[in-house]
Amino acid sequence: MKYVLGAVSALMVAYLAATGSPAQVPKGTIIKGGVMNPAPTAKDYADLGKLPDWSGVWDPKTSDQNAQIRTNPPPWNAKVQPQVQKMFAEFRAGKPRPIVVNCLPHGMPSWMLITHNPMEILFTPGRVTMLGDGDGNRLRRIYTDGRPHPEEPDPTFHGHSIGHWEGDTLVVDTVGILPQSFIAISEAVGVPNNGDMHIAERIHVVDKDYLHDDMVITAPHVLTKPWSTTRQWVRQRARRLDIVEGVCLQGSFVEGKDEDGNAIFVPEERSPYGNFIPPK
Amino acid sequence: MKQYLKAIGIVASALAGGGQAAWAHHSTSMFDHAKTVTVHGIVTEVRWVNPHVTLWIKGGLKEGDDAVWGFETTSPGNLVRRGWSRTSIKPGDKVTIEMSPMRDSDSRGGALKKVTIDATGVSFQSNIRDEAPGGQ
Repeated sequence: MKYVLGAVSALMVAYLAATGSPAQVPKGTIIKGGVMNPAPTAKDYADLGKLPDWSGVWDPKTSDQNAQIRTNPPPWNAKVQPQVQKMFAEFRAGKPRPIVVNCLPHGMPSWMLITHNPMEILFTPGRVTMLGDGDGNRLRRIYTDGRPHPEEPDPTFHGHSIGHWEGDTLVVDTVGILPQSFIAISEAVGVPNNGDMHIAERIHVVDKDYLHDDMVITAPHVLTKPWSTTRQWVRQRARRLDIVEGVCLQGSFVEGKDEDGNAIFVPEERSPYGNFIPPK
Repeated sequence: MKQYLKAIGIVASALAGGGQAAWAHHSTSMFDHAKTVTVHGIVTEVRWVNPHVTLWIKGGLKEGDDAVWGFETTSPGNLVRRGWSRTSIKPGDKVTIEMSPMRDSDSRGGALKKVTIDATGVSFQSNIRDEAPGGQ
């Protein structure tokens, strides 16, 4: 009997270890272990004051985004190049490929390449956080607490980013980006990275009010070699230009009422390319 | 009830359509940016929402026209950078609109370039452009 009970207990422990299922754990057990994030100290907060000033609202330099479509195309591989050419042709014919119209996050690296809404950057102990305006769900967490990447990060739109400061430059390393995340060079031209992408960045302020992100994008399934591109933002401080909430999907709904007279959002039809349908 | 049924109907037809779902954010090559068309009318609605603000009027190409026209522009955040607020243009305003028309020319609408309030002459533009740093 003891042997059987012991075996059952061992099985339960093994099951718990494999699944973490609380249903199998005796009531009151606290699951322990794993790395703790320490509470920040007063010194941690004081050290933030020594970092360069990245406050304000950063507007992307859209003229440079547009220029680089021509001057700095990614080194697409032989399989992707004809697809990209076809997208340019469709765009010129007035039938753009709707690659970013579904209100999913642009993700990395497309946020840095094509998003033309502003962003702001916050410093907190152990972290640099970038938040976007509009275009839905733009949030990058860059961990500066010295942690490594997880061995197998869960794939996400913005990836797992770790960074450290070299003087006034934030050096960032990003992996674990969803294969479906586009390398977009415009809102109508781009391909999914198809996995195993790595992004290295050096982010720094130039001439007091210009933010430069020097990127090197390695995407072995779509690019023949790593692609270097520097993207630029301009700083604004006027309060009227503060970042506002921007829910991309809101544009797919109109204000209506339900049968009880409550204010609700009602879905509204859009064209296949994503734009509104004007009257005929 | 009507709104509820309408909502169900729209969602059902969108799903039944298969293929490309219909979304609200997009590139702008369905507008003919080489042309500028002027439209006059009275504002009936301004939808100040992401990702694209839309403006609806009753009017037309000639004084006295009385059809529904719709115009699309950029996001609220970007319009604020060009000096707009949510209430800059209001229902009832008599306006003159300059737009890039839809490429399929039998649509009454396009991409908004500029809107002028006739009573005051105040105008608002909607192109996103590079700006110098501000507020140092």
